[in-house]
Amino acid sequence: MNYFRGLLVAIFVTVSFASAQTETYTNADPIRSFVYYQVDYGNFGREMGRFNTFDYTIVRDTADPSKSTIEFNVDATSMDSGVDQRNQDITGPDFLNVAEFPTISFKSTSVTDVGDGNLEVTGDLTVRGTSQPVTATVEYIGEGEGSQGEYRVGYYAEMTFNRQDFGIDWLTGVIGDEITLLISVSGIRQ
Amino acid sequence: MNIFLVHLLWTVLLPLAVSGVLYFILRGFVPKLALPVAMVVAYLVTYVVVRPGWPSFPPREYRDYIFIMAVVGLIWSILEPFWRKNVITRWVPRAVVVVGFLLLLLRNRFRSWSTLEDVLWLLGLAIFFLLSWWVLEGLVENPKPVLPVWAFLIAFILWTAVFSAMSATHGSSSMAQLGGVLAAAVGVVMVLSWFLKVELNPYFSTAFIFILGTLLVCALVFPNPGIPIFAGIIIALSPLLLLVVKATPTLRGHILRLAVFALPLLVMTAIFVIRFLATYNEPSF
Repeated sequence: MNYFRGLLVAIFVTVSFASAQTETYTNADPIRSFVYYQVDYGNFGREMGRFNTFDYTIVRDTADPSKSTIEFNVDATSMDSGVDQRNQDITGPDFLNVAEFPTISFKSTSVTDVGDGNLEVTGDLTVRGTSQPVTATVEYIGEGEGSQGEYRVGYYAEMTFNRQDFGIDWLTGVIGDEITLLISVSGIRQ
Repeated sequence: MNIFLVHLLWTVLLPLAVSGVLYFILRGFVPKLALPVAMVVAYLVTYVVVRPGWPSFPPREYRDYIFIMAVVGLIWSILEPFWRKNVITRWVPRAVVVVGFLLLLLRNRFRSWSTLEDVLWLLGLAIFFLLSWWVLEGLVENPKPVLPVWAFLIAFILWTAVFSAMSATHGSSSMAQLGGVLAAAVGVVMVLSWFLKVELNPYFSTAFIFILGTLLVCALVFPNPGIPIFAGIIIALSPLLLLVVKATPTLRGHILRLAVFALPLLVMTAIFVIRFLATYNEPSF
C-alpha cells in the first residue's frame, strides 16, 4: 500500500515539476513585436512591408523544447507597405484577398532544439485560405525582467514560402515567388 | 518581352483565336449555340492560361466562381428552353440559381457583415443580376431585335470595356483582365455574326450575363475599395437605355440609341479614370 502511495506522490511531483517547466508568452506588449515581409521586385529590388496587427502564443517547455508550441495569427488587413495604392493592391483580390481571407496564421506541428536556445519550427502556415507546411528558423534572443517587472523572452524568426503554393499567382515574373516573413517577438510571460 | 505586354497579348489574342476558330467549326453543326459556346470556351481557356491554372473545385473563393459560373451559364442557356414555358418557369429557376450562387459566393463576406448588410447585399445583387438578365434578353429576344448586330457589337464591347476600366481603377487588375478577355471573345464572335448575318439569340445573352454578372458582383464586393455601388448600378442597368429610348430603326436611330446608352458609361468612366490618375502617386509595382 505504502508502495503505491509513494508511487502516486512521485507521479504528482513529477507532473507538477514538468508543468512548472511550461511557460506561456503572449503579445501583451504589441509595440515590441514585429511582423515584416519581404519579396523581390523583378531581379532588381526587394520590397518590404509590415503587418501592424497580430497576436501569438508561445508555450515554451524549458525542460523539453520539442514539446513547445507556437501559434501566430496575423490580421492580413493590417498590411502596411508604406504606399496606400500598394496596400490596396496587396490586400485586394489579386493577392491576399483579405475580404475573404482576413487572417494569416501559423500553428506549429514540431519544434526542434538546434542549440543555444535556437529552434527550428515546422508548422502549418495558412495564407489566402490555403494551408501548407513551412519551416521557420528561430533565433533565441534572450530573456529577463522588463522595466515594469514583467518577464520577457525574445525570439527572431524567418520563414520563407512560395506564394504560388498558396494560390497567390498574380503578376508572377514581376513580383518574386518567394516571400519571407520576418518575425521579431518580445513575449510577456503570463 | 515586357510581362505586362505578354499579359495583354494573351488577354486579347487568345480569346480572339479560340472563339474565332470554334465559331467557324460549330456554326455548321449547332448554328444557334455556336456563338455562346465559342465565347464561353474562349473565355475559359484564356482564364486557365492567364490565371494561370484551373480553379479549385469545389470552389473556394471568388475567382473559382468566375470560372464555374461561366460553365453554369453555358449549360443553363442550353437547357433552359426545355423547362421555360411561361414567366414563372422562366424566372423562378433563374432567381433560385442567382440567389444560390450569391449565397455561396458571399459566404466568406457574410462573416464581416451584419445580418442587415447580408440581406441588403444579397437582395440588391440578386435584383440587379436578374434585372440585367431581363434587359439583355429583351434586347436580343425581340421578334425584331432592338439593334442590328453591328450596334450590339459596339454596345457589348463598350459595356465590358467600361467594366474593365472601372475594375482596373478599383482594386483588381485580374478582374479587369478577365473583363478584357470577355470583350475580346464577344467581339470576335459578334464581328463574325455581323459578316455572316447571324442574329443574336437568348443562348448568347444568358451565357454572357452569367460571365459579366459574376465579374461585376465580384468587383463590387471583394476589392477594397471596390467599384462604388452607384457605378455598379449604372453598369448593370445601362442596357435598359437601349430598350427605353424610342428611335426609328434607321442608322440615325441606332446611333442615337447607342449614344444614349454610352453617355453615362463614358462620363462615369472618365471621371473615375481621371480621379484615379490624379491620386495615383506612384505605381504599385
